Amino acid sequence: MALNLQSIYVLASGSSRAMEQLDTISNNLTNVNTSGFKKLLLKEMSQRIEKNGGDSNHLFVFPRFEDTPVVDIQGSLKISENPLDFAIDGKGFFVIESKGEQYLTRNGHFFIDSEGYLVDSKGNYVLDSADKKIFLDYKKSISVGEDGVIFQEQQEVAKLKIVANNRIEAVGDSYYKGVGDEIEAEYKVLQGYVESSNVNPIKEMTEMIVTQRRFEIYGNLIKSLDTLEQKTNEIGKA
Amino acid sequence: MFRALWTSASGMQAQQTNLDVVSNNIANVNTVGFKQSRANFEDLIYQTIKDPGVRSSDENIVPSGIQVGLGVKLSDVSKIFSQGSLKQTERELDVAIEGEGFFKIDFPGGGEAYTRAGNFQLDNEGYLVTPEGYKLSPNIQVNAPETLISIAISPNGKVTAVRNEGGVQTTEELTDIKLYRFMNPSGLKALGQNLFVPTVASGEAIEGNPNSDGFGKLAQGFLESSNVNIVDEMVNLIVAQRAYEINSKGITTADEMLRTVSTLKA
Repeated sequence: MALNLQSIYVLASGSSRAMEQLDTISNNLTNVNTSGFKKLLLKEMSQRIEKNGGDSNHLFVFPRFEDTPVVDIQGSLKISENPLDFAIDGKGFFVIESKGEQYLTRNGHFFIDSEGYLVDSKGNYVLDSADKKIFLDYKKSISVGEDGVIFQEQQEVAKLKIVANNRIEAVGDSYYKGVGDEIEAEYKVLQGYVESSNVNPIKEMTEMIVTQRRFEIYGNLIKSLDTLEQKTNEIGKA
Repeated sequence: MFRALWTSASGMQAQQTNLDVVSNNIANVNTVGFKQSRANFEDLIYQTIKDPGVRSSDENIVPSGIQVGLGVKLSDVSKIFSQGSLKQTERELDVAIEGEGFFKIDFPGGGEAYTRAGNFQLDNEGYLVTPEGYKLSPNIQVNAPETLISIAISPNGKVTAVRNEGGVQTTEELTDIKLYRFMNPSGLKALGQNLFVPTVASGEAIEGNPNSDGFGKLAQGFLESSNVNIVDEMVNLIVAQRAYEINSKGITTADEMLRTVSTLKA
């Protein structure tokens, strides 16, 4: 065969990467209104070309993605006037217990459940600094200091557990898991605020255009290669 | 096919619900005792394309894998029970609650509901009722309404009828108005007609006297306006529309990329 099909496979693999890129971008965009959402970044991998003795079949130039780190930068804060909405300004996550496991979240939209415990919208318990559930007296007003200490009528009730990790992974349902080393949490807790998503729609829309063009370029190149192939076949016909 | 198609569709659906909630708030901007709702969202699950710990070269191990999120979903629509502003009406059967608490009303067929709307009336038997005719609970009955001059309701819930009996002005103590509150008011189920019913999430109603134990005080001749902030809601409307548009662009892009695929083969 005159033409090497390797290049078509490489281009097709590039198209698949562009599809993954669009998947990630659209997930970021759908969560543009999700409280406490942290966008994912799709990191592209630098190419590593194997040594080959002029054998183009062994050129590993397939584009790949390396990693999808959660971008843990601050989202904008929005006033909500709900005394049980907490937002973290700075580094750190609230800790939630669900089925014996601890999860991290920046979505501080909490409730008092029918037994008097502080829970999130799924009914999972918010933990205090001693890893215990937080019991609140609904009859008394609740105020939270910037250090996360909850007061009820001048009485200290509990201190919200807030932890930070140098690397986190998304679980879904507004939950994250810390996979890296724990680092010092530097934060201010704000009562009556919610943290908006940190997705910047302008940046994501631009990325989306780039992705689409990238996909088209791969497509056009595949088409050109195909035409070349066709021409090669036609040479023999004359 | 593209995950992005379904991901973006989930975003459009979420924003539609957001728009429903916002427009209901705006529609009730003048409803007595109405409490605004807020739609809250959370991300859907994540799909792992590459597992963590895979080798990226001879020396390196990928510290974490590639994850793709699958969109957004509605987590809850919660009522915000902040105080609405009080509006003077000078009507003696208008009662507003300044602070925490709900009035309890009896349904004719049994059962009970709770409301913040205190625009009461007297029915033909002299009972204090809501505009729908549901009796306030505990029932307050005014006897001999023809002799009634006025009704006074104190901030503590004491109801006093002032009568003119044969030219002599007398006063009579009627049943007290009680207030009710819930562990988790966000767990109440809204019935419409300004009424709420308790659920397992809200907990049982706890009875108390106005102006004590953290219950609000009563203000006769006032009504509580809706707590909808129209400026905020208009902004929410804009945000919902733009987010909807952006998500539709995701679908358009996925569609155009699919067209590229379909024209690959000449």
